[in-house]
Amino acid sequence: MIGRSALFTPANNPARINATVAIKSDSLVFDLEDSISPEEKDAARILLREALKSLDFLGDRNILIRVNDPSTENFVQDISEIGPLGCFPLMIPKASEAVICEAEKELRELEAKGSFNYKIPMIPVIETPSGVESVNEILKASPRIIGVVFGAEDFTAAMGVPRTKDITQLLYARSRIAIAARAAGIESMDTPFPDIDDIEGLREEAQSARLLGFTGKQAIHPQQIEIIHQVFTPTPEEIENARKIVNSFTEKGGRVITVDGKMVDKPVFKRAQVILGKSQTSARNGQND
Amino acid sequence: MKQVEATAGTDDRGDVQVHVIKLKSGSGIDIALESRVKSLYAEEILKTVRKTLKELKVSDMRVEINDQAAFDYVITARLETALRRVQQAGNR
Repeated sequence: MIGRSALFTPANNPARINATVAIKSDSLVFDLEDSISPEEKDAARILLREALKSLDFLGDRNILIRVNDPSTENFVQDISEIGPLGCFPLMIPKASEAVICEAEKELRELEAKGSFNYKIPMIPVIETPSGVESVNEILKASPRIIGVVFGAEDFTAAMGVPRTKDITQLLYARSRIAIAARAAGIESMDTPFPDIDDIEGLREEAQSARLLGFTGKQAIHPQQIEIIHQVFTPTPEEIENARKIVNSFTEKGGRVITVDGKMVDKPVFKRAQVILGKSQTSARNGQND
Repeated sequence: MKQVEATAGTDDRGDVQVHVIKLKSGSGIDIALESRVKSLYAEEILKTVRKTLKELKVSDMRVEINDQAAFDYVITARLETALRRVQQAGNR
């Protein structure tokens, strides 16, 4: 599970790693890629390996690891250090079908060599124009894929357009990724909101992500988490309404009915079930924590 | 002959900087410790350093530790990184 929020932490910073004890995001992403300089990749992966082995509080968290490009030696070294420790999903940057196939091959080799009794999941990061255009194929490229995330910074750079508060330029890509994720039956995380101090801007962007069908949003600062959780957690009114719909529709044996003057048929019933499912997940994770 | 040495870590709070220098065969292990929590945790830190050196089967090495109140896992990681780097430097 990825959940509603995933906070990035550079894997080569002990103080930041230690501070994750107080972070309430549904997932923690330890980054071995963009936030780590090439000459510190070795130090980062060893530090992360030791942290995962030693810090008990990390054992209770959803841990994701953003690894390096699978076509590089860095990827092989990343999975060699981290893979034997457990089933931590890997975020695969600049995903394409070829990149996912390469990662699949390397992971299979590692798992066979180490006789792992688990398969390491993957989460493609869609952050190139070609990645957006082939997102359906990417999500089918490996049975390990459990989610997908959108990265707007690289995407806008590749498109040659600015990243602005008005995110019209991202609408097509975000819609396409969210729909592809729903079609594949997996979770989807929207791109992080870059302005840490603009809380209302974050709320608006998170609300639009939820409307497009994303199941969560990445975070780059702890203060973004509460807002993201508020947006992606059903309100008490939504939960109560969903409960009414599910109960009434079930009682009537699945016949079309009206609840509070509105028609309820099978799609409405299904949507209500999804809301109740989300509310249960949110309750387990602490609604606004 | 040129001295073979390497460093890992930083002097940021919660981190530790480890500098290792390869010694000639038979010299043994030589550890120098500087720490902002030396009076309280010197023995713990040295224990972690010796344990890591033993696990990695390191014999002739000078290890200089500049600790900024790092947890044990950080000391282990930075020491292993420095040792790998010195190995690579030696191979070059």
